[in-house]
Amino acid sequence: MNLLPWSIYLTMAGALLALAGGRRSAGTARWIALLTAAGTWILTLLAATRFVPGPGLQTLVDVPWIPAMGVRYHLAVDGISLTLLVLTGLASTAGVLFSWNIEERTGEFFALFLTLVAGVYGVFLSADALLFFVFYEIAIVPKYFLIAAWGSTNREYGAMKLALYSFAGSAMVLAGLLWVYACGGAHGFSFGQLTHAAATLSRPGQIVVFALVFFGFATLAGLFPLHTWAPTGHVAAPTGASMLLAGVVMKLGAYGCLRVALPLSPVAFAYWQTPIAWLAVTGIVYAGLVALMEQDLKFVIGYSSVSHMGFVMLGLAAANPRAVSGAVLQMFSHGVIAGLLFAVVGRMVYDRTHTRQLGDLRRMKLYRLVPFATTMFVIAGVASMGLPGFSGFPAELTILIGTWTAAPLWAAVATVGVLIAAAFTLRAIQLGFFGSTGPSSASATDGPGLHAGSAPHLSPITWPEKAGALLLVGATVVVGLKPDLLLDWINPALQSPLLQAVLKGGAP
Amino acid sequence: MPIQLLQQAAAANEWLAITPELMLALLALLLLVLELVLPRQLHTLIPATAIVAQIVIALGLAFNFDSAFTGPGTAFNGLLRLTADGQFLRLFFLVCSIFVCLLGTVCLAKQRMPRVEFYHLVLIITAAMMLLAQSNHFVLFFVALETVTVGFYILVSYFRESPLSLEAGLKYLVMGALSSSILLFGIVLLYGAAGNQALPGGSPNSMNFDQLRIFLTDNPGNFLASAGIVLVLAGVAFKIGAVPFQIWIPDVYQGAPTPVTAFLAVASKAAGFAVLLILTQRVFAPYQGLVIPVLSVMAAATILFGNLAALTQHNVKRLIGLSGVSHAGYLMIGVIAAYHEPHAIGAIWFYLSAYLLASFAVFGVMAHVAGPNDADQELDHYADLARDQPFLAAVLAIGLGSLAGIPPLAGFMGKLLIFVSAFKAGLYPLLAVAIAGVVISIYYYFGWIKAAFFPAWRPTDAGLPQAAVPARTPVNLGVRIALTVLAVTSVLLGFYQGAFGQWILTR
Repeated sequence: MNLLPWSIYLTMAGALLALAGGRRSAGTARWIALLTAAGTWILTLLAATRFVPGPGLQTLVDVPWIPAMGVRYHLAVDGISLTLLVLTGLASTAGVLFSWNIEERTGEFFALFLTLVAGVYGVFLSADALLFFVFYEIAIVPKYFLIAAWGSTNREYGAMKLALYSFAGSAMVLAGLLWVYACGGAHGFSFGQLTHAAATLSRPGQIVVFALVFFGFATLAGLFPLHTWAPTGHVAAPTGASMLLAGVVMKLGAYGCLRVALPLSPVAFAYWQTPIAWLAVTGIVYAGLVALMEQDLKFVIGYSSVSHMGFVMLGLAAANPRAVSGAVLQMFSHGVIAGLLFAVVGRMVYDRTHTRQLGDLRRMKLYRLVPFATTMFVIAGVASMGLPGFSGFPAELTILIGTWTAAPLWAAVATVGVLIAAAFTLRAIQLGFFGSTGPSSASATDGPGLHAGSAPHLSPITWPEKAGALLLVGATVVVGLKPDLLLDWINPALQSPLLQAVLKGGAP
Repeated sequence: MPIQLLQQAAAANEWLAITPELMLALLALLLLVLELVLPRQLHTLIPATAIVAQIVIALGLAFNFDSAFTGPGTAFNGLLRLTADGQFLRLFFLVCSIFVCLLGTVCLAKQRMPRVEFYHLVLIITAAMMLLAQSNHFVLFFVALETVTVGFYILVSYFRESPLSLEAGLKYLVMGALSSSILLFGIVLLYGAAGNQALPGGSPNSMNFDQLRIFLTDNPGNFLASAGIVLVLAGVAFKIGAVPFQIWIPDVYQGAPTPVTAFLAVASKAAGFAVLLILTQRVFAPYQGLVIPVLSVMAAATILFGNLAALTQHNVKRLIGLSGVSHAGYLMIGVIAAYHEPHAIGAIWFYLSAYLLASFAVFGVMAHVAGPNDADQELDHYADLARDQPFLAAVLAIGLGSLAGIPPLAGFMGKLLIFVSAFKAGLYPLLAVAIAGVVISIYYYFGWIKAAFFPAWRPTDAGLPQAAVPARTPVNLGVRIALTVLAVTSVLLGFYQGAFGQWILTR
């Protein structure tokens, strides 16, 4: 088990090496980044084979960090964090593969990319709230530079908006944590100590603190109406960064909600549960409807991300073990599927056609030009709709069943969201890759200026793209066919005393 | 002071108490002598002498940190009070002075100016600040403060061929004189009120802080004393640049030579806070009911004004000046929190240390990016700095990140300690303002880092000629070492505070 902390250190070292390697040549930096990301992923998988599921966090490292404040450098793991660690390894490896075409300042790109990944590993391993926060910030800062420097559409706006939302969210989190810490006797920042400290606050105090921490994290998880940074940020980001952004960074927010906010105060959670659930449900339906209307393919996927993250938040809000285990599964599933969708649209399609407008794409009939990309998008699309056999199905099903036992009305409205998701995904597949159908299809395809014979020549799909895409497809299929692989880790973790205080309904 | 008292002081070895200050003053004189004596080609040795000698003094002070005083004793008949905080501040000002001299070597090389007087004045000001931080009597307080201010009048307008430097000097003179007179008027009112022996606690020696405190304790709500306190606080607020006394900051910071701007931004601000802490926590403590609301309103306004005004700046000297205003606001929250939470004072020292490291890192980069026209330092001049001089760009990123409070840099720890103290003191509205301010500040700090790391994005073909970017100065070895130390310490102090952190939190 003691392999896991090395995921942080190795990735940090990889970042420095990539920076140095970039001075030599772009290829060196790429290979260093790939070896780091893949090596770290294999490391998490190795650790996972030795993992013994159980309730509570299993300590890996625990030394004093700021003794005067009771802050500890405490790394620990349980089934929930292990799931997300494996996801991080997978998403970062795929992200490097899909960033293979970054030619400008390659060293700096991968240095920032790996720094972000190291921060994410750190967050998932932290068992001390202040340490958690520090890693959280390390993950946030590089995002800004990745988008501002290597992004596309409206990158400065998207990057700054994302940075300001992230920092506003994390400022709320920090304020809440410090409040609990300072008013609860200033003993320390471990999750248990914070829960004890929060219990000493008055009920209104607990409610305010919980709101600060929960909604601070929820900003990064894309909870409606705090989600508006997500579509613009995703669209502006370079492909590898938007894969990380959708794949793991949004999970940081959801993980923070689950790990830090929920156990903080059962009293305050009871107060906020219904509003949070309705916000999540609204987000699912609203973002789905927006995705149905969007003309820019990347915006469609950006909003679909918000919609799917709504399921995660709904699962957390339902607060019974089944819904929460589904939420964690959905975090994994969405990380993989959204990564694949962004990879296809950003790297395979946009870098070749230089357009993401559905109106332009429908005339190109991409299924004839880039069949591999089309196949991947269709697979990712149906996985995202929740077709059985892919990871989205067990995840959303578990969430909906869990939510139904908590409040049938939430589940009912969220089910409408599933239908909308099917609609916008099919629309994106149809318009983006197959062109328009119907009786007038013959005339529509041979529209003015675009003859069937003069289709633009698109460069073939390269091996890193194929490798990355197959990795992600493999992961979603494996988890879709055998979700118990992950649920066997997740469910025991939900039996920890801290979470049991919030979750009702016993074992799943 | 009559001659017998001086003899007494000598007999009791009291002069030992101000050894570092005396050594600095002697060093300042020595520099002038060296200029006369040394042949012209050896004049480059003078700044080196100043820097090395100061490092020696700083080391001596650090090794004698505890032995130079025994408990909170006073010297010179109550003029000076020797405290651990005072020792810390002496070291702080010495370190500032070393870096200012180092930056001076970089900036003065680009100007046709007499050199030695610059270092002379920096040393004198540093000695005066060290006395100021230990003063226990309004006479010493005012004399030391005026020495600092008068020295700065000259330093601010040191580039006398630059109209902006002269303008800045004039503005600083006018505003400084105004603030000094307000301060003096406040002192006079306090002296007059506390000198009235018909009132309980009245004393003929009412300029002494201890006597004054006794008087204030015995006379709560004395109108004359209240007016005096408000005026004294206003005078100090000028020095730290707190709203509404911040108006001089942008122009003076822009016009002053970059090392002087750094000196003003770090040392002068720290001196202001040292004085503010002595006054509010010790002397005016009985008048908390008056002081806390005044400081709270000023702190909130300072944070908001500093951050909002900095958003639109393109000149980096004005930007860092206004961002410094907001830092003064965060520190004022610490001062207010110190009434309820003694750890807050340690938090202020930590914050100031982190601010010193980060600011000098940034100013060090500014000194190299600036051309011969020192007042003209635009954000656009930083375009592509990362490609030309990656070392400077890295130092800049760490410095600005620390100023912005990005974990795990030292600046984050500083803010964390201040905020924890403020939470313990229950200052929720002020904290909300401060946290909003921190988020706003991300915009301009990141904008600056972005400017340094990426090419300028403004359209070059819009018919407007691209502004010429001044040539960047290469970094010499000494400055490279210093900047590396600043950047590395900024990172390390965030991760690990060690003995320093222990001292800060348990002092």
